Amino acid sequence: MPAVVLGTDAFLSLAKATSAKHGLPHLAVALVPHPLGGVAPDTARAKADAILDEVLDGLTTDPAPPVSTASAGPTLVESPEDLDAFQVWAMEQEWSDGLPVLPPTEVRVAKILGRRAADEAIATLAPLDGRATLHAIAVNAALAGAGPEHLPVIVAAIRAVAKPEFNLNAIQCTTHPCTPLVIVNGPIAARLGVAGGPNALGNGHRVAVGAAARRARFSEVREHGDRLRLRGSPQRQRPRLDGR
Amino acid sequence: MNVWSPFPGGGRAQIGRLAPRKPSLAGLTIGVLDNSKPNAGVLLHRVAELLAQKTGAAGVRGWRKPGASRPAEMIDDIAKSAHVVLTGSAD
Repeated sequence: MPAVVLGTDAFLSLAKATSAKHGLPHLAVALVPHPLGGVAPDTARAKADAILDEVLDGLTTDPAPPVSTASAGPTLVESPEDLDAFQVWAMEQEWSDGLPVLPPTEVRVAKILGRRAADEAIATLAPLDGRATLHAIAVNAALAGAGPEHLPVIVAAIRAVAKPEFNLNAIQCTTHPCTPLVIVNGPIAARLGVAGGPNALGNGHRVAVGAAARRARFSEVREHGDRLRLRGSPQRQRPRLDGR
Repeated sequence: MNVWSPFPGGGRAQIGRLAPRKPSLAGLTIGVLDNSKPNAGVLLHRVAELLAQKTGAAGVRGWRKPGASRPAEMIDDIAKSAHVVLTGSAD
């Protein structure tokens, strides 16, 4: 049946990304000025008039069919050689969440992957159903400064957050600054030097695991990103595992 | 130097088809699916009421999800009971 989605203008990118994920980038979205929450009901009601014609149009006029967006798959790109220049470039490309990153070169990514099948699909990540292949996870791990020894833990963390009962979609799309906490149990925690015991949440020297899992978790929210976090959180940097 | 992009692409859904739009809303039932975000129901119902007045729609029927991130389990009921639907929102 014909449907129109209403939202506030602050959420346009999320609305577009989500409708595109479902194969309906041409779904009608009518926007009112942000915010709706936290305002008096009369104020919210008064926003209806301005979008009435747009909503009616969305229910009664077939939109032009959109152009299909082909997926590129893993892509090699040229980056600056010098490490400091790479850092500046990576920030400009929005490859960094603000923390320093290391170049995900072919050699470093291949080293992290070892003999594992690069195209193995580990999980599908919300909100855009980005495919978390081992290769994509390894690229993010390389950016975060992780090594091959960290890959099993990062993969386990990705699998965990992708479980339906975890409801990753809610965490990815909310304006709340919440973020998953990865707790690593067993001998591998000590072997990798993951902080534990007293001061477990304090300084630890192996933040690469969390950083890599975090990066990979966020799938293709680059446009939506963390701009919507009202206050944000230092734990919630913007990671990378794009489905586009 | 060459580096792998962390934006590899893939996974994008095929373009689907939207339901054909209605020539007019006259005599039709406008459904409202409130996602329970603050004031979502207020705005959605107001738009639906104004639309009904403007177009001569038969009426408005509403449903409410228990939480914004929860699936719309009532979707079959909506499809059976309404001709068009308004939903959202982000607050």
